[in-house]
Amino acid sequence: MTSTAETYLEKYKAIQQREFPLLQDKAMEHFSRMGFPTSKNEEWKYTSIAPIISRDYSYSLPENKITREEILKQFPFVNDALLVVLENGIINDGASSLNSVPAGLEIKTLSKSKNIPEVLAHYNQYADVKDDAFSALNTAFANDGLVLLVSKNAVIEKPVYLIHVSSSSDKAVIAHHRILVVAEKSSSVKISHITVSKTESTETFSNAIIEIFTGENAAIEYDLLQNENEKSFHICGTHVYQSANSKFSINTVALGGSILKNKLHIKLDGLNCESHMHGLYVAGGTQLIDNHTAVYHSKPHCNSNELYKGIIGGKAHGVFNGKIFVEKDAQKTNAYQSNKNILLSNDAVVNAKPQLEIFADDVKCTHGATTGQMDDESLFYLRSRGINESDAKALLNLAFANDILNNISLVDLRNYISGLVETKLKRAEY
Amino acid sequence: MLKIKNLVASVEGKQILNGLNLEIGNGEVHAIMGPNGSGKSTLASVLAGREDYEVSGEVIYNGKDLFELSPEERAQAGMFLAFQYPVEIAGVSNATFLKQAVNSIRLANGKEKMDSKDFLKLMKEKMALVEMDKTMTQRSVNEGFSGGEKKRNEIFQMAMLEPKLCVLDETDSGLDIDALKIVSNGVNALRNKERSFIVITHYQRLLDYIVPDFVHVLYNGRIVKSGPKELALELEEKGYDWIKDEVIA
Repeated sequence: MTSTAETYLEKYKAIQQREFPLLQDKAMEHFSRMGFPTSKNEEWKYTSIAPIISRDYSYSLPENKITREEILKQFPFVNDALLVVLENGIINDGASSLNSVPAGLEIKTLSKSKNIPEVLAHYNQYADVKDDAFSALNTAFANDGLVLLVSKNAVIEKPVYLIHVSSSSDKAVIAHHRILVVAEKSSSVKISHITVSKTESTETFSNAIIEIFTGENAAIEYDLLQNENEKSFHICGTHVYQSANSKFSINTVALGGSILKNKLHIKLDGLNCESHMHGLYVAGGTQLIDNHTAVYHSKPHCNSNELYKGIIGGKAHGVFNGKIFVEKDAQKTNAYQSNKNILLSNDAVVNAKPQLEIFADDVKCTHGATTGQMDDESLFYLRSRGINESDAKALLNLAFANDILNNISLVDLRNYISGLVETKLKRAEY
Repeated sequence: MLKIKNLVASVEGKQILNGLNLEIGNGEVHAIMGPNGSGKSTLASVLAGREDYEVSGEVIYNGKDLFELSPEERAQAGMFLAFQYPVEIAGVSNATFLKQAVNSIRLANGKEKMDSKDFLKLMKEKMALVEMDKTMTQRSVNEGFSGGEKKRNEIFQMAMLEPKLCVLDETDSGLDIDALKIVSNGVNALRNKERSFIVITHYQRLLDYIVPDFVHVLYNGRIVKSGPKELALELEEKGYDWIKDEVIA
């Protein structure tokens, strides 16, 4: 164990009251055993975490909480929506609007729902606490978080927006966000989760875990927009469990952060499950954006479909690693995976690694990864119609990105994200 | 409008245009005919500003040195190339693309951006010119378009951008007679006293519909013969061999 890891242990011991002492102690044991990963670990081969773990962080929440007005100013489209505002992992009641939560939906803090049977049944069941140092740290330190419970047969029409604001004062802040979504049998819900920094000077390390249980015949749509500032570090593990006949769709848009690493694990553990994973990452400057995904086909007759696209400019680095595991009972599996990247500059780098491990014999699986430059013919065509080179490039890149963004069913959110991508692509460092 | 003097162009070390001279006045329609490999499409590409070519000589367009202008600046100054092979651009709708083009050209010429209402009105009006279905504006640029639809889309764009000099690169290739008529009608509707055209074609057939003021024969990267519109008929009748013989002699 390195000395850095030891400081985390000391911080852990200093926590006054633990809400889930057994789980937390166990998680800390796992962390102590593993220590922080190095580049020898295949999962972290291209992503050096030295800048993240070498920092000294404050654990306290800033005093000035963000207001509802500030949220609405930046996200006008959430005005009528169900809105949960989180600040460094903790619910900000004043900025949230939880008065009109419909029947069948419960939105709670983790610390206040630890005796609820659904929470006991699902909390920390899907995160890879034994295998991942950051998951272990999250579980050890996350004394609170957000729980969303959708009861049996409940169809929640209104989208639920989770807006997570990372904030710091004079010292960089570490926050272990924790979210649990439980959608019971035959329920359906649409969640849009946005992570931003409070200001451009905010310095934070967000270490997030999202656990999602999709009950039998349930349907979940999950949008994940990650747009923290250029100084931020963000590691996010999303762990999804699917029961029979369930449908899960996730759209991940990774834009912001100095280092942004996503891990998405989906376990298809019942017959006839369907999963859709769409991801877009746009990196410029010296950003590093890493997306690791893994789909575990455990039962027969399931379909999974994955498309991740990356636009990498400047001196930025993109990583895609996608695994599909088909276990031996998972006959009649259909699994598709595709990763496409565009490099906008000579210094931009992408490492793409698709992997298939198939132990069943009657399956259809395809995967592939491509990396290329922008099509010169298309660029010339647009320019020959009077469109300036930088605008033409932005238009083509946006078209590339739209393949992913078009899967976001909330039009306001889609337009908002599309605007962010467009602005980002026009910035000089590309 | 356009003065080309001793234009030489090569690509990948191979010289294609070998000292081409041509002068085009306002409102004139010039047809450029020639056998395959004579340099017709190279001329179109060089005029539009394709960067794969090394060029020398002089091309003056409305008083400006064309080689000093980027492709977009040429378009903003009123040049338009109707592509022989229009590019398919997935994910960008025709309407989005054209709106950006129209507004870029307007801004470059000191005009204000066109608002959405006026833009839609203009599109509707110009689509009628080439009998284009309105669903085509919502489709991605040229994606999945038939050959005829692509060429019609080129003329539609030309109508929208209202250029001063139009270069039509083998716009007739791959068109059946009905599509050829529609495309030609579109072009003819855009003819006026100011707007000039360079119509590049292998076949005389197009010139039955778009009647030129002058016909030039391009051979081995040079214009070897020029004449009135009747020259096209002569070429159709005799083929290109007699020109070749004449050049050699």
